[in-house]
Amino acid sequence: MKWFSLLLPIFFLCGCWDYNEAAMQEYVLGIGVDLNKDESYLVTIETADLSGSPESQSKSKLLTAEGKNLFDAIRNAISHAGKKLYWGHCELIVIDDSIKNEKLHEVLDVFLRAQDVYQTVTLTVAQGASAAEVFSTDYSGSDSVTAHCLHIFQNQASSRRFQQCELWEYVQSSGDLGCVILPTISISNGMAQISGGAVYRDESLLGVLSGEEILFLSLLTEDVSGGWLPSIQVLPQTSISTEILAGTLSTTKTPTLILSVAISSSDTSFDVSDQTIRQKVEQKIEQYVNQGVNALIERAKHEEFSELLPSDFQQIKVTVRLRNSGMRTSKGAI
Amino acid sequence: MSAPMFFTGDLSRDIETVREKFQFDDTVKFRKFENHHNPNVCGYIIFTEVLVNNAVIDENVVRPLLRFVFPKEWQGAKLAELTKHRVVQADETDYVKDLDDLALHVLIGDTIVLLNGCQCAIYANSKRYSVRGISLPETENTVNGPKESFNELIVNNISLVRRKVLNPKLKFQFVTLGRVSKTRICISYIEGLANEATLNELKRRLSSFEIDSLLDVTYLSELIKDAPHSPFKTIGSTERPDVVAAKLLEGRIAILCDGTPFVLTVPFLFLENFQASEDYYSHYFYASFTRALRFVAFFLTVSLPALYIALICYHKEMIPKNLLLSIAKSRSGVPFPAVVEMLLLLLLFDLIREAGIRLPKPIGFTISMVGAVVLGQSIVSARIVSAEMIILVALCGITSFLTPKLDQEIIIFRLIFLLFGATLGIYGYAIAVLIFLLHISSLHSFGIEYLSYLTADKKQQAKDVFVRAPWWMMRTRPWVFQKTNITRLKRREDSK
Repeated sequence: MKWFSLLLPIFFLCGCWDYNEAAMQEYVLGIGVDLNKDESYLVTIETADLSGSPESQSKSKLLTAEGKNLFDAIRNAISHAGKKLYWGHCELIVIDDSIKNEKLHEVLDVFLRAQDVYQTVTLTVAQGASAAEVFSTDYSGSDSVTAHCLHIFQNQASSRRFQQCELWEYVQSSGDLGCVILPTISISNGMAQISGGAVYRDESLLGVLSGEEILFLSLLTEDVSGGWLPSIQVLPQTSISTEILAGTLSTTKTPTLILSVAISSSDTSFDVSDQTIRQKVEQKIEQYVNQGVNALIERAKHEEFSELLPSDFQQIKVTVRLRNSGMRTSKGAI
Repeated sequence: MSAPMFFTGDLSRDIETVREKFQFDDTVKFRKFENHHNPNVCGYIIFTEVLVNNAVIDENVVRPLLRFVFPKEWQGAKLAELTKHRVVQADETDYVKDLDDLALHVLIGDTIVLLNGCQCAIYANSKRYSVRGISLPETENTVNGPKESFNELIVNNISLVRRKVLNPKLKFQFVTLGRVSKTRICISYIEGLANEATLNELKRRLSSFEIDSLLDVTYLSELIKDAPHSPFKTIGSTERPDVVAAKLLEGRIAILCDGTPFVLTVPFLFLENFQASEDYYSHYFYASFTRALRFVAFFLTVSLPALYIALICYHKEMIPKNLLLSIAKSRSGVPFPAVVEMLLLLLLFDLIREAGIRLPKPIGFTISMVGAVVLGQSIVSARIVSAEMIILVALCGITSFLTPKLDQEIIIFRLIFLLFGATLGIYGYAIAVLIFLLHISSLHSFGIEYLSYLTADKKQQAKDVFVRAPWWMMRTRPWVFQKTNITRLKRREDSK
C-alpha cells in the first residue's frame, strides 16, 4: 500500500497528454513557402502517403493551404490534412526567392519558434520556379521530393555545386558573418535540381551564385576533396574535365590555392607522360581556376559579401598538380 | 545403543498394535516365522511388498531366521541384540525407535523383524528403488560437458554429487520434513568452504516451519527464501550434478529433496541467472561472448516492448524517419492502440509457449507451428496486428530463451515496464527501470547481497561476471561466501 501510494503521484502529476498513435498522424516531410501577389502565403506541405500495403513503394502527397501569414497558412493546412500534422521529421524547407527582408524573417521565425521542427531542417531557395512547383516535380527513384533533394545533399562532397544550410547554420552564420548562403533549387527536366546559392544579408537577397562559383568559394573557405572542373581547353584541340582530389588554401605570404586534380575525361588522346604537355595542361587548369577564383573575389567585394571569404584577399595564386593521369618517372607512378 | 522398549513382549498383542497402525493398507505384509531348530524363536517380519527387494528378504532375513541355530539362553533383549548382530544379514540394521519410526521404516522399504518375547523391533534394509534412469538434462542441456541429470531418488542424486567430489569434507546431513509425507531432505556442503553462518541460517529456516507434505523442492524454496513476495529467485535450482558440485566447491550449500530431480543451492546471486554450464566447458572467448549475449538478451526481452511503445507513441522523433514511416504504414488500419496490440501479442506468445510446454513433444511442435506460422501470418494479413509488432514480440520471445532461469521474472517485469512505458513514455520506462534496480539491489540471499559481483570493483571478483575469464586467471573462489579459504588455483613450486 505504501508503494502504491508512492506510485500514484507519478501517474497523476504527469500523464499521457502527448500520447499519439503512429498511424493517426500526418508526417510532414518538407514544406514549400510561396508569397501570393496579395502578400498572403501559400504553403505546400509534402507528407508521407501511408495508404497502400506495407510492401508497396512509399509515396508522398501534397497539401496546400493559404493564410495571412505563414503560421496562419500552416494551421489552415490541418483542416485539409484530416490528421494532426507531425513536424518532427520535416527535413526540407523551400522558400520562394520572392520572400525576402521582413517576410523572410517572419517565415524563419515560425520554424525557429516551433517546438517540433528540428533546427537541423535544411533550407533552400526556389529559383526560376515557385516552391509549390518544386514539390510537384517528379521524384521517381525516391520516396518524395524531399527525399530526392536530401539524396542530392548527401552527395554534396562529390558535387561542390551547392552548400547545404540547416536552420541552425543560418542563424549562426547570419549572426557571426552577417552573410549566409542558401542553396538554390530549380526545376530541370521535370525534376528538382540543386545548384548554386542565394546570398543573404540581414534577410535581404544580395545575389545568386552559380554552381561553379560555389565550388570556387568552397576552395577558398575549406579543404576540399571532391568536385569537378568542367570542360577546359588545355591543348589546341583537346578539352578535358578534371576531378578535384584535394584543394588547400595556403595563406602564407602570397595566398596560394594548391589543387590536386585528376583527368576524368578528355575528348582527344594526348601523351600525358610527356612532361611538357603535362605542364601545359596544369597551366591551363591554373588559368581557369585563377580566373574563376579572382572573379569571385571581385564579385564578393562588389556585392558586399566578402565576409564569406576567409580574409581580405586581393589576388590568389593557383598551383595545380595533375595526379593519377600517367607516368612520371622521376617520382614514380602516382 | 540400548534397545527402545515400546512393545509388551507378547507377540500376539504387539502384532495387533502394528496391524492397527497399517489398518486398511493391503500392501503391508505380515509374515509369521518360526525357527526350525528352536520353535520358541518365532515372530513376524513386516514389509511393504511394493517397496522391497523380495530376494533380499528371502535370503538375508527369512532364511537366517528360519535356519539359524538359536541358543536357548538367547531370550528377550539379548535375543533381539544378537539377532540384529549375528542373524540378519542386511547391510543396515538397527532398532526402531518407536511405533512411528517402525511405520516409517516399513514405508521406505525396510523389513521389520518382531520377535516373540522382545519389547523392541529390528529393521533391516531391503529397499528396492523403482526409479527413472539417469537421463539428459532437459532444462540445462549442453553440447560439451557431462550429460547426466538428477532423478527423483535422493540417494541416487547424492551418489551423483559424491562421485564428483571424493573428499570426506563433503558432508550430507539428512532432515525429515513434512508432517504427513515424511520427505527426506539432505543438506550438503563442504566443510571449511561453506560459511557456517549460512549453514546455521539454513538449518534455522528449515526448522522454522511445519508443513504436512513436501512434494517438490519448490515448496521448500518458497518456504525458506529471503523475500517471499519478490518474483526473483534468491535460491538456485539445478538438475545438473556438475553444477551442484561446482557450487559446493565455491562455498555454497546444496539442498536435495527426495522425489525431486532438482537440487537447491544457497546463497544464490542475480549473476548466476546469466551463467550456464556450457560457459565452463567451452573456450573462454566463446563463453564470454555468449555470457555478454545473455545480458543483452535480458535487456532486450524486458525492455523492447516498453521502449517500442514509448517511442512510437511519445517520442517519434527518436525513430529514424524511414523506420517510423514504415511502422506508421503497417499500423494504419490496425484496430487496436499500439499498447493493446502489444499486450495481446505478448499474451498470445505466452499462450503458445505454455501450450507447447505442457503438451507431448510432437503435439507441442504442431502447436508452435500453428502459432508461429499460421496464426502469425493470418493476424498480420487480417490487419489485426502490424508486422513490426510480430517481429518485436518474436524477438522478445527468442531473447527470453537465452536466460531460462529468469523466465518468470521476465514475464512480470516486461509487463510492468510496458505499462509504465505506455503510460509515461521513456520517462515511465526510466521510472520502471529505477524501481527494478531498487528492488533487486535491496534483495539478499542468506545474508549475501543479491547483486554481489555485478558491482565488483576488484579484478579477481570480476573474472566470472560479464565475461568468463580463462581458468588460469581465476585463482580465487568467490569471496562473498567465505573469506578464509579462497585459493582455487596456485602454481606448484616445482613447476617454476
